[in-house]
Amino acid sequence: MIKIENLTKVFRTEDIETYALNSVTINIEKGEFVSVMGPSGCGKSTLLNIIGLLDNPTEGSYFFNQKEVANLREKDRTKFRKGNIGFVFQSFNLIDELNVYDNIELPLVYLKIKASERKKKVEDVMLRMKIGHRAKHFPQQLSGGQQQRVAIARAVVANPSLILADEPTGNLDSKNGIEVMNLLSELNQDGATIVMVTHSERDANFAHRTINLFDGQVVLKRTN
Amino acid sequence: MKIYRSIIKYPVSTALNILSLAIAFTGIITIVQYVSYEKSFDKHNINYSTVYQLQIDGKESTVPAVYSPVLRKNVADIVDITPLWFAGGYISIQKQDEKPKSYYISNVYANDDIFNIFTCNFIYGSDKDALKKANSIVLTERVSKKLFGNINPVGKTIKFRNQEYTCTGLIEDLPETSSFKTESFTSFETLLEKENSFAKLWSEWSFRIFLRISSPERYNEVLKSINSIDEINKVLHKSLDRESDGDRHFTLQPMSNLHFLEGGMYQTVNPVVLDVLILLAIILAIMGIVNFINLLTSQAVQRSKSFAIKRILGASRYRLFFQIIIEAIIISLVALGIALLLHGYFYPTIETKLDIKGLSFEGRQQWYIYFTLFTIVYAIVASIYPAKYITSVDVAQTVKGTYRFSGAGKKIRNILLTMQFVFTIVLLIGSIAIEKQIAFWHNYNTGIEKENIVYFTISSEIGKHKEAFNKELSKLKNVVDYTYSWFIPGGVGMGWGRVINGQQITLYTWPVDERFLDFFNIQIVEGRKFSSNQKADLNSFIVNEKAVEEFNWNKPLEIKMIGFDFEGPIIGVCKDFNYSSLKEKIVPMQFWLTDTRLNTLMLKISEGNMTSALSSITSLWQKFEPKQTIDIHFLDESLNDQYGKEEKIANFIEAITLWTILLTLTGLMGLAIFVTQQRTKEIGIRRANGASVGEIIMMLNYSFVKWILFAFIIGSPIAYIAVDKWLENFAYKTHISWWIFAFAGILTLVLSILAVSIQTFRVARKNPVESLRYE
Repeated sequence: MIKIENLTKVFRTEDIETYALNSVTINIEKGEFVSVMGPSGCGKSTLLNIIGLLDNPTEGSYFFNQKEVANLREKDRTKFRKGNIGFVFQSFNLIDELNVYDNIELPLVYLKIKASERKKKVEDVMLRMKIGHRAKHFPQQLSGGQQQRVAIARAVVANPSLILADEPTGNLDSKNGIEVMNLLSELNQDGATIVMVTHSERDANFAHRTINLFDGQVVLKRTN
Repeated sequence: MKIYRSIIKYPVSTALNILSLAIAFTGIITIVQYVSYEKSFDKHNINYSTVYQLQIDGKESTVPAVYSPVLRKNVADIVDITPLWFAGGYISIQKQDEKPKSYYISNVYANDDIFNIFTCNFIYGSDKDALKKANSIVLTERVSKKLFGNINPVGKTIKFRNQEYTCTGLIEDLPETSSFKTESFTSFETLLEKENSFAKLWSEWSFRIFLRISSPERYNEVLKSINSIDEINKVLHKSLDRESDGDRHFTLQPMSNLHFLEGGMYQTVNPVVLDVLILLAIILAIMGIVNFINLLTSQAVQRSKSFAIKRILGASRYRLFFQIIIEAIIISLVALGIALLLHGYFYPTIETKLDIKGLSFEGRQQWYIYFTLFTIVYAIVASIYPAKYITSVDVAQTVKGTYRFSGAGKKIRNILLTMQFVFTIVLLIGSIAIEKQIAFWHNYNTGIEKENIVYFTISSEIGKHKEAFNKELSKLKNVVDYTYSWFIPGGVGMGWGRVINGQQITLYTWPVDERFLDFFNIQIVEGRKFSSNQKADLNSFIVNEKAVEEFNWNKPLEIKMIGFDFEGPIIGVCKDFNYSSLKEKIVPMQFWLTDTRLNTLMLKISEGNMTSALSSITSLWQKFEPKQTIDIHFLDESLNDQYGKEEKIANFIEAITLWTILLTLTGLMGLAIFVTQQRTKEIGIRRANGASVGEIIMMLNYSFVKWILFAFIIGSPIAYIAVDKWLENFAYKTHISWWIFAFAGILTLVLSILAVSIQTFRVARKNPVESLRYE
């Protein structure tokens, strides 16, 4: 599903060039659950952003479902992202001004799905994430665990084939963290491909395999 | 240094802030300079507070000159009093071996009291007796220089209005800020000396009377005494007035009003224009403050963190509060500097474009200090709220990054923004409506031809050789037709009050020659035209339909009109046409066929031959009148000049509208920066969830557009009422069409969307990763 070869990402400021990723090569099959680990600043999030088409690599190739996407224009990346990729962030990234229902509905709105259909999908996913009773609440009225469940609901509501999670448990206590990990596992068992960046060995163990990055390079691939 | 750093740390909002303030200040400076200049008029007169012009019912200022001695005799509190007769003319001196050169100058006949009424600085001669004797003339420096160069003119003989005068005094030119303008004074005695002088007639309402009373407190007593003089009242009550016969009163117009009254012989300004300008200056000031508040509070999110850290390190809230205020003062002073530069650079252009004076700082340097003080106070007032807002953060929460600014600030900003748009939309609708009305006047078919017609006043020399002149005139190739009259269309000013068969009537009288009606193709509906033999129909009249209608004349052709020393028949009735300004309704008017007073010559030029026609007319003039230059006017231009006052208002309002639009847009851009900053992360989230750049821009624009629409809903009825009220002043007016509102609304919307999009496009296009990282 994902085939990345010799991927390099360089950040340039006026006088410094930083290699966030250096000749990274990774393959991820459909239905896999892969975790990416490594110390802070090793390029995990950069890799995830590139996989998620939020950012373009400097060099290298990236095939998503056999389609070269490494150098898509912003407009096309947006189009490609829509409905194909769901995001879960460490800091949840819910919109404060929107309630739970509206937050979850967001990707469907941008997919221009009809209102009645949207309603059904949002309600389904809220039920599945056990947050149906919170539909009218605003993010700041929810606990961290609940917020992350809303974020996951938003990530999966459009039924994307790939879910990218950037330290999804980083801001949660262990009880809520495990709940979130269980949810992701369930989604994976239901067929979703998941790539998760994490600092936690325990979380990484939920995945089928782990890729370790150090200084922008893959240093270890391990099957759990 | 620290302050300097924090100012430049926010380059975009600081730059916008300075720009917006500079725009507001330039407008305010220009308006304040102009209004204070107009308000300074006549104050150079020492007796400013005790001088009055005699009026009737607060509007008519022309009275018989004979009132003057009667008032002086009967009212003890009148210290000085003089009748005035404004009569300019050609002035010349005989020089040896040289052809005399003559100049047209403005002049007033008056007695010596005039110098206690209008302060004049004598260089030679005395203000006590300069105008005592008949045929005395007091010259201003300007005229004296032309005639005599730098020598003392007193005692010299001068030819003026075809009479000999002796120069009895030299005065400095009247200051620019004098409403009363003249280039010379001649003694009123000159007029009285002649037997049967019109200046002695109780029926000659051609004079103005100025008087000075002993103290302003005596005003009421003076007024009472003036109104109780039988000798005058008897005559006054017999004189005619359309609305209030028999109930007319003298009033006194203070000198402080002289500059603000319409028309007349003085240099005046419409006080409504000044009031509107003051209001607009206040609006500009408010809009500047609004922008200032918006732009400064827009830094709140960014500044709060450094502020919180400083608090933790021991800075007091007040210290930071004052830092923000000091910053505001510095920014405002920089803006003032820019505004003064802009003003200095542009004011001559503005003066020419708007046809005004008084924008310069010359001789008024104290205003620099006033504006600086104003700016400091302004900055303090404008920055108190933002300073409070920024320093109100919860330190602990801010450091943790969890502090959220209250929604109250947002609400206020939205209200302020809406208010600005209300101003903009009202002004925009107003300026379009005024332009529409002016275009309506210009294009209105008044029923008489006005294209390709030129006119000029003939000199007395040409008057003497009229027949020969006319003969030559009819030979000119490009002159199709000509006619003599006293007035040109649009300026019919001779009002006659008469008692005809026991009926009191008032109507305008237009002295014309026998060619006039054909020249303008004026239709006769009853009776006949003037005969081409002028002598045969001399002193006969043709009235307009309105006169017949208003005076209920069944048989107008049987009526004998009373002239000055004759009676003349009404021989025809002409179709109504708009002979006067379109601001007024058509009122009763008559043409008087006469051979007197016909000093305006109008010429019809064949189309496309204006230039050659003008040069042949000029050479003809020079043949008959080598001493004077011809002053040719175009009739259509003169007719359009009638609406000059409205055009001036339109120019003012348009300039201010442009200014408010600029201000509103800079404010809007500031707000857009603020809002997009606040929503950067949200934008990232939405982008990650599939929103396109276009969708983000739409979303951000919508948050402003709804307030503009709201402002449109509030502003439109306000503008409608204002425009409707203004149009009520005119007899002939345009409609307030729907498209004016649509146009103003759409223009505001388009400009706003552009201003907002510049900012939102940048943020929306940003890589979502960057937006998501934004805290």
